[in-house]
Amino acid sequence: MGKIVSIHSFRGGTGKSNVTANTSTQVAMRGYRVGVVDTDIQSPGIHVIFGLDDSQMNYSLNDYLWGKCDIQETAYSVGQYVMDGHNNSVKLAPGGEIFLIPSSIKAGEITRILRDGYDVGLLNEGFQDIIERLNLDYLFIDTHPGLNEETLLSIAISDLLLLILRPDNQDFQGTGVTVDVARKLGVPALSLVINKLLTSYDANAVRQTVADTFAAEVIAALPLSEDVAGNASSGVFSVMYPDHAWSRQIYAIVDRVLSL
Amino acid sequence: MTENEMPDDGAVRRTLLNALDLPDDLRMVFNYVLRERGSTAEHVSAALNMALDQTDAALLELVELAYLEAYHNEPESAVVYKPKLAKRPSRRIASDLWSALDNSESNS
Repeated sequence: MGKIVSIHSFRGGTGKSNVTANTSTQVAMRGYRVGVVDTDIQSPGIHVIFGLDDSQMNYSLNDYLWGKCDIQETAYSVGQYVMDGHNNSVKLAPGGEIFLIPSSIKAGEITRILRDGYDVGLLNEGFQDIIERLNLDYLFIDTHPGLNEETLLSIAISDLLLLILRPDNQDFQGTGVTVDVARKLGVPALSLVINKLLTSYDANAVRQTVADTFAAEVIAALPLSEDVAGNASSGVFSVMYPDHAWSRQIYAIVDRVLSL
Repeated sequence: MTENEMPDDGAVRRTLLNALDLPDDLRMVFNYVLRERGSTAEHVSAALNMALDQTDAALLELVELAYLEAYHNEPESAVVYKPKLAKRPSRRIASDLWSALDNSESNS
């Protein structure tokens, strides 16, 4: 049975979608079948990093939640759109595949979800069904920041919860709340990822402080990088720049995922 | 009873936010059934290493509290417990705002 990895942060702007896109692509490059669900229904965006255009989406997660289609019809194979540093499609190891289940970017469909709500139980069914139907090894769930129904569901059903935080006091406080909730929901594995770490900081000291504060393992400390910011979500950074210091921290996250 | 827990049909519906307030033993059972998308008392008992009578009592209490529903796949088969989650509630925003957003979409 495929494993579910949820990527979450208490506050916005921590880099969830970027870490999700990079980690999931690297896992697929190692020969695994990977799905990525964008449950950030209110402010979707990960499709941009994967190079999937709105016009290429016949159905989205929204359509599934409204009963318009099967969950499998919302999944798009995106490996062909992920480019390396030489503008060639990414090479996945034999057996590797990456599917994206995007949320709708249409304003009317976003407002409809906010206005009418949806069946949270159906979302849970959809996660499990897509794993079975696409024979996935890993399903990554890119969440909306903060705590709400779909976030709690993603946390509750995950085999590994990756919590992303910046070295910032607001992030620290919010992460504490999320860690408490995750433990109440019985998440089997919880790992912390520090992102946007100033290069002037002592990375090991920050990692130790964070690990001690939350009594959880810190698996990566991604540096604040002008190169990543300059990429401007125009592709999967670690595929384009595999030897970059930021990319090497992504590989540490990949190792943790593959250890499940 | 909050507005989110009591929809128009009068039935009590629970969210995961409500589940956070459950006592530890009930929450542990609920979490397991949620992850499994449904389970029997025997499976829950074995997975959580709980006595069967204790597991039965917890499952029945969760059904009474409207976190789970119980049914038979076939007559005479073991009772299967499934999570019963409330629909994500709509946002309480004035209807004229939604109307304006709809209009802006159709005009674009």
